[in-house]
Amino acid sequence: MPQMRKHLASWILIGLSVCLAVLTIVLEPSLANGTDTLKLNQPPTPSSLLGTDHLGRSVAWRLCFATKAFVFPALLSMVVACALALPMAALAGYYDGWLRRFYLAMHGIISTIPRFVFILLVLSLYGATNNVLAIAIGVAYTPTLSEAIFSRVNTLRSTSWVRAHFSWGFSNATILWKFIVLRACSTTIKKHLANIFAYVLVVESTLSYLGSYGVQEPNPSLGNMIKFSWGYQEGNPLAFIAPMTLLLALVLSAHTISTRQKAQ
Amino acid sequence: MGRIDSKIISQSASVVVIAAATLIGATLTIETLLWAAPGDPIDLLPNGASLRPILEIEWGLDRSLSERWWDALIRLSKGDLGTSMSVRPGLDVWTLIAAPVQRSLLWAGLAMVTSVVLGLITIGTKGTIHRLLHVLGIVSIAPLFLATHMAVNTINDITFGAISSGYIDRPNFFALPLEESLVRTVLAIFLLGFASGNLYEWREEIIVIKNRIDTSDYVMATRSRGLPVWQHFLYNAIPPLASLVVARIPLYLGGLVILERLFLLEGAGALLWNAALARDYALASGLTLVFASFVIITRLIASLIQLQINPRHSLSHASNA
Repeated sequence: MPQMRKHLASWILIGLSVCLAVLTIVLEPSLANGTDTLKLNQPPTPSSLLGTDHLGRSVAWRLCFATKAFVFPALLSMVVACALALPMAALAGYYDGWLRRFYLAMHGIISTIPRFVFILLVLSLYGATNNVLAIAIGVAYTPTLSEAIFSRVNTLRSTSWVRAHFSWGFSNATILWKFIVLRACSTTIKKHLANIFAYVLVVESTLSYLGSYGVQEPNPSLGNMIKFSWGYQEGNPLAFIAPMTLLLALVLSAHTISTRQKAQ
Repeated sequence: MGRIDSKIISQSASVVVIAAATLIGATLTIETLLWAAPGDPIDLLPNGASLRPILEIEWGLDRSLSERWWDALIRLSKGDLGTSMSVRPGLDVWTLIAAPVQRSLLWAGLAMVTSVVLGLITIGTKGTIHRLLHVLGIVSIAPLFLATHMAVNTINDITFGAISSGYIDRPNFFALPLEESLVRTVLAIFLLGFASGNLYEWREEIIVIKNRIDTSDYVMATRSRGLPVWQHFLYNAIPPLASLVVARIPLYLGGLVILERLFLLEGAGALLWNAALARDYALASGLTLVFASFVIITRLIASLIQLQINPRHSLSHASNA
């Protein structure tokens, strides 16, 4: 039961961050970026739940808008990784021949380049926008996802239930996509989607913390909120505790979901 | 156990050939990324527009992708990574990165050893200490930059408080000055080995390996005869640990970029960050290729070790290590 509660809490937290990110589309950015020199480092009040930071900006609103920095890139990365990894890994795992050899060769090549190094190189070459970051992360994560799908499909293709479906008249395409990938591999896919979410969150926060890449001030991101608030803890420590706590909570939530999927 | 026969030799040769092919593939992939990028290095020069007709021919930017692939392979065979345009314009990239790469690889290796040692320490514990170490493993999932930020600022705040209160004089490491510092380097290595899930993953995997070997027939038989089992543990733990090293080394190399930037260490990671910012394509792609080469070499060594220890290790496993 405690595991179930942890799992449920993780899903709720991640769902909440997605909802907040969607909500920010219709909200005014000035809610997060508007400064007020008369309210610097204010403690929490009923009108400002987490107080204000060193520039008088509402910490609560900045946290809401900070979710936009990683949720939409995470969704795009998931789509890119699935689009690249699933078809090739599933086909290579199911069929023998040149496709399998080609997949193993490409996997071996792409996985030699460290992910963060690859992302940095792509950002340097193609521009440091959120879309490029998301696509770079999706491509960088493809070897990991494809390896998991390939192993699973390769193991399942010779099982008795697959042979039974084949003898019942189901086509190879239906067996592969409907039964193996969408049903038997769903747990594996969910685990890796949770990992991608955490990875995008961590990479985007890291880049915005380091500066030059990622979301930059005055736009809020968990990374730059942590970086610029630490030195101003006199007055409102929540300005750095809140983004730090949210970041850790989201990473742990994704880890909990991923671990539970692995256990299943 | 150590007998070398023709099958091991042929499989080892195959593994070396696959490693070389992978290196060629990585070179071509990086060259393709450079070819497909919008703009080119000439845009970065202040007088680029006037020099474009000459530089395009000299730098081979007017060539087709297949011709650039061929040039890249020729340069790879000579160990030529091009010339830097930003750090010291005109300087050979290999000369520029040789020393930083050695330092970075040493730090990555030490960080990995730190992770393994910390993971091994947790194996023999029980009860409350085991639970505490499990919690520590969970805490280690914190992102690397966050763990570094908290560690550095906490150390600075405590030290400043102690200096202000008169307990100590200003230590050499205080506020992490720009000069070389052993404390900074050691802290960076520890954080790389601990944070970003490294401790957690190593700990979990070592426990799985230990349990698998512990419950195996040969260990139980050895134990029942009253003989020491550590040799069996060591011998059977090396192949999965080698696979784990191969799987995790790219994460350590990526983490180095972050740590060297935060701790102002003069390694390949910091050089890569600056090259990426300055859009020094030759330096950035050269460093990427060096990192990829290191991963390939690590894989090759791990495969050869696995083949030597377990001659039944098939070629498909060796090539996928």
